[in-house]
Amino acid sequence: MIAEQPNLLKLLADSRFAEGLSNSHLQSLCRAARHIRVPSETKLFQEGSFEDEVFIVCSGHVRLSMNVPGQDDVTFLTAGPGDLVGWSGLISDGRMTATATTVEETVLIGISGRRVQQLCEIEPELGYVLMRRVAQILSRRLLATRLQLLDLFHQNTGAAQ
Amino acid sequence: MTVAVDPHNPWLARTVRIRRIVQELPGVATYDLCFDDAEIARNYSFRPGQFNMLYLPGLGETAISISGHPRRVGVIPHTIREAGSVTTGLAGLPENSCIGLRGPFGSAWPVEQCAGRDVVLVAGGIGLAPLRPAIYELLSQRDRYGKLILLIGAREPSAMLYPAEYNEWRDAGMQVEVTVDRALDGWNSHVGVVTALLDRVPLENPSGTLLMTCGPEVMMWYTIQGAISRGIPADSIYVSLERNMNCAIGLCGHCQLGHEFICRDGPVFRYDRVASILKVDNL
Repeated sequence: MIAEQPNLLKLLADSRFAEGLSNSHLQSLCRAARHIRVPSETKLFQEGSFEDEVFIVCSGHVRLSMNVPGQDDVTFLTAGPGDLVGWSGLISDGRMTATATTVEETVLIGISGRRVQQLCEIEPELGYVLMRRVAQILSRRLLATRLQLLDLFHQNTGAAQ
Repeated sequence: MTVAVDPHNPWLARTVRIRRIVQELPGVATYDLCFDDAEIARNYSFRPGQFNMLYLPGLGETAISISGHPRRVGVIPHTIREAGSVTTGLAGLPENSCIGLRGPFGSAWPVEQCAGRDVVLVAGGIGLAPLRPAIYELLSQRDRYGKLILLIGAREPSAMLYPAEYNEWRDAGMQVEVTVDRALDGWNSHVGVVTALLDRVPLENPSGTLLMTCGPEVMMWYTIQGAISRGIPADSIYVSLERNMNCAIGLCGHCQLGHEFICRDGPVFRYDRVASILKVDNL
């Protein structure tokens, strides 16, 4: 991974994750963040490992997979620009529930979960806004998972079919 | 535009011959139909999104969207999944067999309204078939439109419909993104529901963007909610609905949905016209 700091604030402000966050909140977040450019097929984290860093995808794509005995790694989601990956580091003990691998060269913002939690203790308003945003993202992820489970395209029909 | 339905007798089925059968997926094939009567063939035309009633003697009729190029004269493709007695009977017919056809019927995708605007098409599963004529029509006059984005969702890589055409559409100026619910080894594109692709696609002018969607109703519902949350107005969103269409001219009532008849007023509806009845249980 190559850590860079080219206008981190702008990169964060332009991400879908940060939509609606105030400038002061963005500046606070930047104190815990770094800009990373990652080559294709790089593992960001491994299922079961403990990690501190949460990633916002700025460009490129990240494959999320789980190991299933007999099937190796099964990809269940491709995260793209604006998506959050590795959120366990932000809201739980940091044990990763999936393996994340870049599909192509990917630009990310890495944010230390521990430092964000400290920031949230100091700035409860930031904590509220940030956790609300994370909850919205997880809610969308849950809905998407439900739609996958419904297996909508199995024997589906389109119009007048 | 000439309409092939005899205005005095919409019940009259014309004879068409199955010129070619292309097996698209297990249980799904495209049937290229041609009129035996050369004059009828010359005069037949349809608009993207319309459907025909296909008739198999002894089995009955079924409504099938036209999946071919509206500007291609002489051949009328229909992509059909084996689902009921008529479509299963059709699947047993060889090339050169004759069947009956009434149509075209119903409303069309609003291609004319797309001029100068960005357009997003969201297709799920076999729902790509009714959208394909709109894709052809948009690409046949590519310069008239802004960005053209096609988002395709399928169950798995082997269930993608018309995959050989995606690169042709890309080359013609359309952004095509595909996603599958279940990936296998070697799949390098997106995994996840098609609504997630819509969340990510960059929209420069959402209020001026027009969206068309076709697929399972649950998928269309969440596509619409995603589109509205991205700023696409409800009156710029179009859906293609399916119900039990029998007469195709709004008389029998089998396909009635609230105050609308899908065969006559649809199958393509502007979302704000059907929003209040889309999520009514058992309607």
